[in-house]
Amino acid sequence: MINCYEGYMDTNLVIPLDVDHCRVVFDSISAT
Amino acid sequence: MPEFDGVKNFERQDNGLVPIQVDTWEAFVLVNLDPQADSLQSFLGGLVKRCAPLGLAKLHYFDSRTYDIACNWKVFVDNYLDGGYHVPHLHKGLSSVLDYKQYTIENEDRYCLQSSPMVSSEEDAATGATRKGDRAWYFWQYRTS
Repeated sequence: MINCYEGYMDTNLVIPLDVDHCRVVFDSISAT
Repeated sequence: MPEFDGVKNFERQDNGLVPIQVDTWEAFVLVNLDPQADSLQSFLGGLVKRCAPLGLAKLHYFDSRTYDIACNWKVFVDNYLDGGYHVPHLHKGLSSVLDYKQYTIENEDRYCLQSSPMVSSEEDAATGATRKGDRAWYFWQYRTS
């Protein structure tokens, strides 16, 4: 997932762990 | 492999580093450990052209957070791809700066884009500080096979 606004974005990497669990890594990226 | 000349039963060509694929897109350096995987450009597909006007290469990384969630990964993604249906109920600050009457969903070759014009609002100052501009863009890049 890539969420973008003016001067800002974040990515959400969704990693399956097992049938009932996942790990989500949020990276935040900005112009400032 | 330095200083291994003359070592018996050691084949230099069989003991090198494992090749990996490395490529760049906008401000990102992406690594794929599968040497047989499609190229990054093929994986990203139309996302490259669609994101080009957004100027992502000018942005800088500043934070990472990781969450382990007790749900199947498809439930998490399904929530993201619900066309903003949950946002007015669970993210009221974000909801205050989106124009839902013009919310769109586009399915392309390698991605889905949900997008909405943005409106000015002083309902939630923290949300307004990072959710700026004319439009919000929410891309879901399809996973590999």
